Amino acid sequence: MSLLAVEHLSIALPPGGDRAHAVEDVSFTLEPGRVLCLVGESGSGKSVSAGAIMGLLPQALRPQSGTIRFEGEDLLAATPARLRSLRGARIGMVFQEPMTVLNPLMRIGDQIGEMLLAHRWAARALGPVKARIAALLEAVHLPDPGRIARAYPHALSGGQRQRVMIAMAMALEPSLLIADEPTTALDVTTQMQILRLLADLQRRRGTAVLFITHDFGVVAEIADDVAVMRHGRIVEQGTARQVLAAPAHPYTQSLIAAALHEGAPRIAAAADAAELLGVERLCKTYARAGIFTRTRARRALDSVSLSLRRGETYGLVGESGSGKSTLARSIVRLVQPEAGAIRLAGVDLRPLGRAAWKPFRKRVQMVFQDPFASLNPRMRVGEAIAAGPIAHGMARAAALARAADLLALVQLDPAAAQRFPHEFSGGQRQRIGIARALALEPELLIADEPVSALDVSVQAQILALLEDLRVRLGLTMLFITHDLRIAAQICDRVAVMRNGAIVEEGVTAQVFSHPAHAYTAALLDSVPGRNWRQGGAHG
Amino acid sequence: MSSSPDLAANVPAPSASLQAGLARSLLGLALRGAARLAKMLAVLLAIAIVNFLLIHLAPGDPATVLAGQSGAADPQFIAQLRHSFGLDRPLLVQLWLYLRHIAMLDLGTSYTQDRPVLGLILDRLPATLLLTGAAFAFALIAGIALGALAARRAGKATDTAVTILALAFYATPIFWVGLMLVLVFSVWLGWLPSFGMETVGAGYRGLDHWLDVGRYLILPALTLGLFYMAVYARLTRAAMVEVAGQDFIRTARAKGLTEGRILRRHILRNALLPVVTFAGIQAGQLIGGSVLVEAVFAWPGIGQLAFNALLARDYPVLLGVFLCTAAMVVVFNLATDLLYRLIDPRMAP
Repeated sequence: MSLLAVEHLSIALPPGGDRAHAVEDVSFTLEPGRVLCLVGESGSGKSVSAGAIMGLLPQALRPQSGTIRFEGEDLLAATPARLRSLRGARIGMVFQEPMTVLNPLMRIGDQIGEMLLAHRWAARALGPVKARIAALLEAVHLPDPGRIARAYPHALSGGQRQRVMIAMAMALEPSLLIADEPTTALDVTTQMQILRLLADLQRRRGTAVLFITHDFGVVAEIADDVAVMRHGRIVEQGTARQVLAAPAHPYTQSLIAAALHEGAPRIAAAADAAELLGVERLCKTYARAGIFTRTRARRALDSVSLSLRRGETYGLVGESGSGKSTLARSIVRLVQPEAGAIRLAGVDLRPLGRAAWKPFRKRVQMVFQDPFASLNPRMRVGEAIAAGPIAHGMARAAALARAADLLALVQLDPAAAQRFPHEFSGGQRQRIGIARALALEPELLIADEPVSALDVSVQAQILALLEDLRVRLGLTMLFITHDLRIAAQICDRVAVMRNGAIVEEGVTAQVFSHPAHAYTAALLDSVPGRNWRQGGAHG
Repeated sequence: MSSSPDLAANVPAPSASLQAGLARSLLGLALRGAARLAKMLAVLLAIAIVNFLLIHLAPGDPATVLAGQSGAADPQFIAQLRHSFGLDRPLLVQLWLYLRHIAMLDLGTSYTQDRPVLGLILDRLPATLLLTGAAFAFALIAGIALGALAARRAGKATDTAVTILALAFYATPIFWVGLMLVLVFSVWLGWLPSFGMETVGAGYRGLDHWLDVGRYLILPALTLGLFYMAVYARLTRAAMVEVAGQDFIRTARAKGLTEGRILRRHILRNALLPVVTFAGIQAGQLIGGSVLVEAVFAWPGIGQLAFNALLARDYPVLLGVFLCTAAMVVVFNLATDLLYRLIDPRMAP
């Protein structure tokens, strides 16, 4: 008998949505001790399916037909009290956002203990609560479990919080663990640690795992079985080996291609082009100073130097907190570094005053990570794009006409100029963000994680657009990313940052195939599905 | 935020020299305390100056009022009064003298009652604190309870009823609520006394006295508290609905906790943070906020004192009350900050 059997499950969306069903006629089974990956992009219905199993769907969503059998019991027919006694005890769950999944006002130990108390009968067999909490924290490799148990969530990093969540989910040794994008919000090295931890716990305890992800790299890393979802339906399922090696459905093929980053061959920039941007020994320290309080300083940039040649795409990779964004913000003067030089076409920008700096402002423009947060929600898109040129003295009518041209350039309908940012999807908003940056006809485009908030298939489109624009407009690009796969795909040269310093720099293919620094090697090792990718590339 | 090896935490490290660490943190605490105190005093000084200048901008002065009351308004008498109060000296000199006096806790002497202002205020303070304290406690308890009820039944009939009730009390002028309460509970039903603070001439002692005062307290405290109750109810409801949608509530459900426990331990505790912020602001107005209610119910508190002093242009009393109110606001701000550190671990140093 299967541990979990979902049969012909359909869940209706409230009327007025863009489709009738969140999930339609979905069937899959999960055998004890196996890992099933439910793969799909946002809106595919994968999280709704998981919510239905836990009985944790939003009010507006109700299963219409089908059954969910867990250990032989029909969960859709179970009473709320029965579901509650299963949740946590027999079915554990780990969520995506480690920063927000823990109660900020409760100590870690209390949050785990609370669950043991809620399932007193199941917990009794496992020994006294306090010792159990310490053992659990130790099992997920958290240092000094006693101290962690007394700490509040804000004192822990994202990776540590996710470990706490896993400890909590595994506390009562459930037979099923549902993991909803548990590593998506984490840095690559942390992601790999969490994946290995999950795989290890799963193997040792024989827990079955329903793992929800959008990333075929992660699938290659941990899955036994795969089900691919799109628009609420399962389009393909089978064993991981089978689906990864020979995907049958075109949608699966496109997702795998996106994960492998099989982009079009790019036109490399000339290796002997003149320098456009030179950064020399740039330093920036963030300090929280007070008259009476002790100053706490953090070195965000530690004597960073780099040089961009005209027409190239220069990648800056590193994990969160490595200083990549501070560097980008220093170049456009959103941040004031305290030492070093920033040369644009030979002129040092750092000592320039406001007025002297203004002409250079046009020449360097930035595309931000979160396309929604970087657009004024009360401003029409056309106005937002035209704002820059108008500030630099272009006539209003001319600037608005140019905005329409730019929207066409980024492959949007020029009529979009009359609409507001919330009317667009994430990918469309990022196109608007790019049009806004291009409005001033910059020579240097700084793209700070421009695709990391987007679905994989949309990522591929935006990357293709950026590459196309770079070639057509002769742009130089500083591309910041935490995703080594993207860097490998689009960058001529790449620099690896860690703790505010560049640890390694060079031609992308060279750096990635023969990393000189241990940290670069560790980063590359942490890319999910690396072995599968290499296998795929060679055969 | 986090650096790459996620095992290297910023959890406070166990210190080998625990004592040195403790001494350092105590010193830090003392320094921060001193800085806070200096800021508080600076704020109070600024308020005292602004109050003083504002009050002298108002038309009319105590000499004309007093002369009017005594019926002898000839210029010579007024000039004499002005001279005896020191009102004929340059404004800046008066300000300087005023500041020097309050630095020594001398709030001056009332022009009309011929008594030290500090004594007048201290006489009236207990009555006002009793009234506003009772109103504050009522508003807080009833408001949070109603807000929690509405949030728990969000979108249902109970929620609508609570919301309408809260909106009604929020929008109705305080004096009108007071008059209606008097009309219903003292005039029609005859259950509760309508004005004053105790039964005159009854000579109750001990517990009887307090029960008597309690009966007089109910209507003014309700009148004053209903408005704030409405504010707390709305605030609590909004905060709870917001918190209920957050990720850690989903985590709590996934743990298999009962709805009651989720409500108490997870939703309510987090939702109380904004309520505490607002309660801190309101607590600062404990002295100054009851002028109107004291007038309606003839409650012998600071509010009445200030009201009468205003009519008589009794500058020293008025300034004394203002300063007292300001000090209260500043002190409660500090208390709120400290409380916040206790209930929200993220704020702790």
